[in-house]
Amino acid sequence: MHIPDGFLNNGTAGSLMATAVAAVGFAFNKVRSGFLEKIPVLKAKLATYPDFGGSSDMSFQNKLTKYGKEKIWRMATIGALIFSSQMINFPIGDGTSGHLLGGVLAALILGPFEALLVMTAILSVQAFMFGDGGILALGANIFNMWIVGVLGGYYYFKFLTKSAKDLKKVFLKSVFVAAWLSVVFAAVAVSIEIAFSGTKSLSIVLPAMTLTHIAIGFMEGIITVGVLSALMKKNYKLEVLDIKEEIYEK
Amino acid sequence: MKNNKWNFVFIVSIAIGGFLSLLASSFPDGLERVAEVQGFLGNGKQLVAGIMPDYQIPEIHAENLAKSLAGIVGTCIVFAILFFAGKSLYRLDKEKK
Repeated sequence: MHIPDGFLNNGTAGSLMATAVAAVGFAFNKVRSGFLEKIPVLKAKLATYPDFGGSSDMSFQNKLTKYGKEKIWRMATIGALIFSSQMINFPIGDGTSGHLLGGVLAALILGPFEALLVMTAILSVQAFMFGDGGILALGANIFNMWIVGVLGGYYYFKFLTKSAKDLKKVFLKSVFVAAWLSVVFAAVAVSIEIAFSGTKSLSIVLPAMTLTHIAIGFMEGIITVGVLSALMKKNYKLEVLDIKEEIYEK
Repeated sequence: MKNNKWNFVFIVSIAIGGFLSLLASSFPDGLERVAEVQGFLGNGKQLVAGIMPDYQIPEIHAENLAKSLAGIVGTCIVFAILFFAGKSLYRLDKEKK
C-alpha cells in the first residue's frame, strides 16, 4: 500500500509530510526518554568545612539503561523482520496481491511510538533504496500506515482488551481484529488522500480500495496472530503484555 | 549482546528476505491494482529509482540471486539503521555533557 509519487498533489503530500515529521519527532523524544536514566553527579569542588548546605552543585548525566539497550536491539530485529516480511506478496485472487504492513505487530511487540520509528526506517529504506513508495509521498505513507493504521489498530486493541477479565482469552482475537482494522483504516485513508488530491473521485476509489484491503487485512491478521503466538510460546517479552521482571532492574 | 533471544528473530528475517521472498507473488499489490483498474496508474512517477529498484540488484543478471541478495542487504540495512540510530541517541547525550 505504498503510495508512489504522482498519486497525490503537492499540497496533500506536503501537509502529510509535515504531520509525519512532527509525529516522528515526538516519538523520538518519547522513546529516548524511556531509554535513559538520569543519574545525579556531584561536581567536584573544594571541600568546605563546615559544609554549608544548599551549595551542592549537582548535574545530571544520562545513562542508557539495560532496558534501553535491550530495546534498541529488539527494535532493530523487529524492523528487519517486518522489512523482510513486507517483501512477501501473497496473492488474494483476481490478479491482486497484498503484503504485510506489520504496524500493529510492531506496536504490540515494541510499543506504539517505537513502532513509528521502526516503520519510518523501513519506509525510508524502501523509498530511497528500492524505489518502493514515493519520496514526496513518504510522509503520506508514514501517516497512513502509522498514524491511521497503527494508532487506530493499537488503541482499538487497547479498548477491546481493557475490560477483559481474562486477557489471555481475548488476546489473540483482539490482535486479529486490530491488525485487520489497521489495514482497512489505512486503505480508507489512502482513498481519501487520492480523492482529495483530485486524482480520482472518492466514490470510485473508496469502495475499490476498501474491498481489496478487507481481503488483504485477513492475511495481516493471520500473520500478526501467528508471529505473536510463536513469540509468546517462546516467552519473548512483548510490550503489550507488560512483562516487567528484569526490565526495570537497571 | 550474547545469547539474546532476539538474535534468532534476526536470523529468521534474513532467511525470509533472502529465500522466502523468491516465492512472493508478482501480482500488483492492492493499491496498484486499484490504480490500474481505475486508470490512474499512469499518474505515478518515480523520482528516485533507488539502487535496487524492484527489490533486485541490477548488476546481477541471475534473477533469483539478484532478488535474494537484495532482500538480505535490505534487511541488514534496516537493522543497521535502527541499531545505530538507537546507539546514537545515547552517544549524542554523552558528548553534550
